[in-house]
Amino acid sequence: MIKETSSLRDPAGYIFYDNGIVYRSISKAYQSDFDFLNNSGLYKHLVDQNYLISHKESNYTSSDEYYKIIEPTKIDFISYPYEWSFSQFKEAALLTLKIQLESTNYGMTLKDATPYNIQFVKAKPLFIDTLSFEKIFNEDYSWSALKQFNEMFLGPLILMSRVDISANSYLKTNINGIPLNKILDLLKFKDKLNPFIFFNLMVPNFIATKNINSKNKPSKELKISKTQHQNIIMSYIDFVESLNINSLNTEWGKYNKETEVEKNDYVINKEKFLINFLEQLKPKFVWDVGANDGTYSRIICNNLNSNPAVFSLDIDPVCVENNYLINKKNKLNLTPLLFDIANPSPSIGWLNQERKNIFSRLPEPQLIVGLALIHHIINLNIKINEIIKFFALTKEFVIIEYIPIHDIKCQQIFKSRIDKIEYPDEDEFQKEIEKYFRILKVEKLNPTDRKLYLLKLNEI
Amino acid sequence: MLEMINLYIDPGTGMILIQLIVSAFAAVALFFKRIKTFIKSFFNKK
Repeated sequence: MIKETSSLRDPAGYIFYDNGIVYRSISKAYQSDFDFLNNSGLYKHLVDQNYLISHKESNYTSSDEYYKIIEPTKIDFISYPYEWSFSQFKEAALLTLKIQLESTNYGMTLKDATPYNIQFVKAKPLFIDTLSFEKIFNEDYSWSALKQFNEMFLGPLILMSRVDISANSYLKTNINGIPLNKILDLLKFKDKLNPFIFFNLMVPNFIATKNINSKNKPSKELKISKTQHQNIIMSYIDFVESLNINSLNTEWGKYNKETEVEKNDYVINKEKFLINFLEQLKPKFVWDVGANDGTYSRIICNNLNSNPAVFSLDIDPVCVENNYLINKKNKLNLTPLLFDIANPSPSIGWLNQERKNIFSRLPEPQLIVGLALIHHIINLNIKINEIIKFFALTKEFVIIEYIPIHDIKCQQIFKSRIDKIEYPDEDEFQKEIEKYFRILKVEKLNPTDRKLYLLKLNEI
Repeated sequence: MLEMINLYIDPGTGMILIQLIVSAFAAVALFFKRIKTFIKSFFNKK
């Protein structure tokens, strides 16, 4: 039995693993809320709508004290909010609000509002924290998680849409959310004049900093009614739905369109050889690194009979956004994620164990794909032997594209330091590869001098 | 120094007050939204 360290702050219970199965132990302190969740019909209602993760009761017995042990449906991979694109983040926020609204109709409320309670399964958000629901007492609908919602969801989303599309990355350094005053510091004056932002961020921040309390009346007398609370949630839903990133754009978002026109034959050849390489492979998990908008990730999904889970990783938020939006229509087993190969998500939180680094969460791949990637990593002064070490994380195969220094894209990237850069020629590239891999196939991607390699990891 | 002082403030301070203000704003916003939807549907019918 291995206890999940991410559960350490939850008094209602904890996740643990045994024999590859995920269990959740529910503490006696949470007994009445858990029973109410089931008996009120809220659990069934949310599961029927695919809002909440389903579970079954388990016969597992543990020496710890507990009320019940349940077995939640297993999820392949746990992603974190700083690995999501804007729309993923927005949909996670909307799902949380909708669940809160539905819950109040059943006499319950969410005791927390954190994006870590949401996961993406086949391009749809799913609420995974069954122990987040609390019974409402004395008809008091004031929502104790509203501040957390503002700092974990609303603030980052507003910043992503108005200031910096990468603002969700601030959650790596602010595990409990971005404080209201910091959100306001980053917003432009005209954004602060937005009535919703003024009343929901500016005013609460003013009250909090001035330490104004309802001193004259004992706080027990002040209550929020059900209608008042539902009005708040509905106005939040309307505002979050109105947020978009139309005014923001990035360098990479335009890249694929550009290359499609520029290198038609090259793209056709690359697709053809990629499909040919995939023929004999039966991976369960694939990492496509530098996936851009996921064009090749989708080819990989569609041309493998093993129906693998493909993780489509890219550093650019607009690419990941486009990838996610395309995949919402296609419904492939593909997960688009923000991923910086030179600075992957770290372990953070209590004892650095609360939120884990990405390599300990991503399932071990039987295939890693790196197309049109190595020149970008070399540009960061990372040497080819280090890059090959990354690809050696595969359990079996690698498909990698070699780009020679005289390639037009390399010339663009390295134009100011073409003589100084340590760029591997093809012999050096192959020599490094052969330290870990056997070369199974090589194909030239005409009309360019780029080459596509299929590699198999040496057995130790 | 300010950060230090903030550590000693109960995070629930002013919570009810804030939510009362916010709910008043929400009621007004939803009222206008309903008028907007009504006017839109009125013109759409024609």
